[in-house]
Amino acid sequence: MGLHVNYSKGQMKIQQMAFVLVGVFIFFALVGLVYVSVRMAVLKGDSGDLKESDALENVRMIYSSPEFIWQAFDCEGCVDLDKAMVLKGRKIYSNFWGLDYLALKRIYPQGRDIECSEVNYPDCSTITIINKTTNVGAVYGAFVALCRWDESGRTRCEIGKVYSSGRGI
Amino acid sequence: MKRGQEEIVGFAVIMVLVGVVFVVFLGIMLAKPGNDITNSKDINHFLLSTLQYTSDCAIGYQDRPNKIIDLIKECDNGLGVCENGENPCLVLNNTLKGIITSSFQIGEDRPIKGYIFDIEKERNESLLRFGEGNCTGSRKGGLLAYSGGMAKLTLCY
Repeated sequence: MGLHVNYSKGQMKIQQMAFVLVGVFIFFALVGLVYVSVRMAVLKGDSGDLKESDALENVRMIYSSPEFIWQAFDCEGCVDLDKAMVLKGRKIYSNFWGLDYLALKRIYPQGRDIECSEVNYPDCSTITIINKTTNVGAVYGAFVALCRWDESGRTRCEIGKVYSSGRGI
Repeated sequence: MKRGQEEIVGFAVIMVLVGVVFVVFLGIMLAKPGNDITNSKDINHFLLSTLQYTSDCAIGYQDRPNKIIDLIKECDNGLGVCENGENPCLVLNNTLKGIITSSFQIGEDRPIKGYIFDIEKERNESLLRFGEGNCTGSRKGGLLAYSGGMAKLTLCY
């Protein structure tokens, strides 16, 4: 036995209006949700960019320190490769910047992709100054000009990157 | 107006309202990417380093190879020739292309789809402009001003 209810026309109209209102509300809620999720994704991207920018600034501060900076002529963003090579052997600097990893890598011109030592320098590509652990986390790299004196006593600057990681970044 | 007509008009009003909201929403979504170029510190650092790069071109009385920034000025003057007989503008072009393609991984199947490099003299006159790949998506760029002009690099994602 079913329950039969007779709705008046007025009640039907109110019911229809209620359904339409609920539908419109759900539609706007969905639009709002999509908009918020897109905005959140953009914000996340922006915060990532800011974090990267901050890290790059910290890397720049490290390679602008007297231990690295090229002083033969006024040059912002130039690193003295000979100084870096000397630092490679100094254990006293392993805790100086609070880093887990610090390395310089030549990018252009591309040469032999090998670690620099006193024997093969400057015919090498990478100078690893600090490498405390195999799990260094996020590594940030900043472009620099790697400058040195060549065999004929002339200045030679090449393109490289300073990579670093750790709580100091 | 009949009852049926009233309902059709009501339905049409709601559809128009929903359509307007949808178009406004789409407009907001699609307006962001376009000609916007995000400034990148990484690219600024790159340009700073690139201008200091020592090229293979030594000109005239200078017994040492020129830096890229000097080579730009030589290319602009159009008077000197490298000791090995090459044109400074050609050396500049080839060196810059080599530096950019070695420094950034650019390609159809890579995050960076293309690039545009531009050297402008004063008064926005272009001295050198080249590029590679597809530049329709979002872009990151950097510029570096030096005495006599500016260097600009735009990476396309």
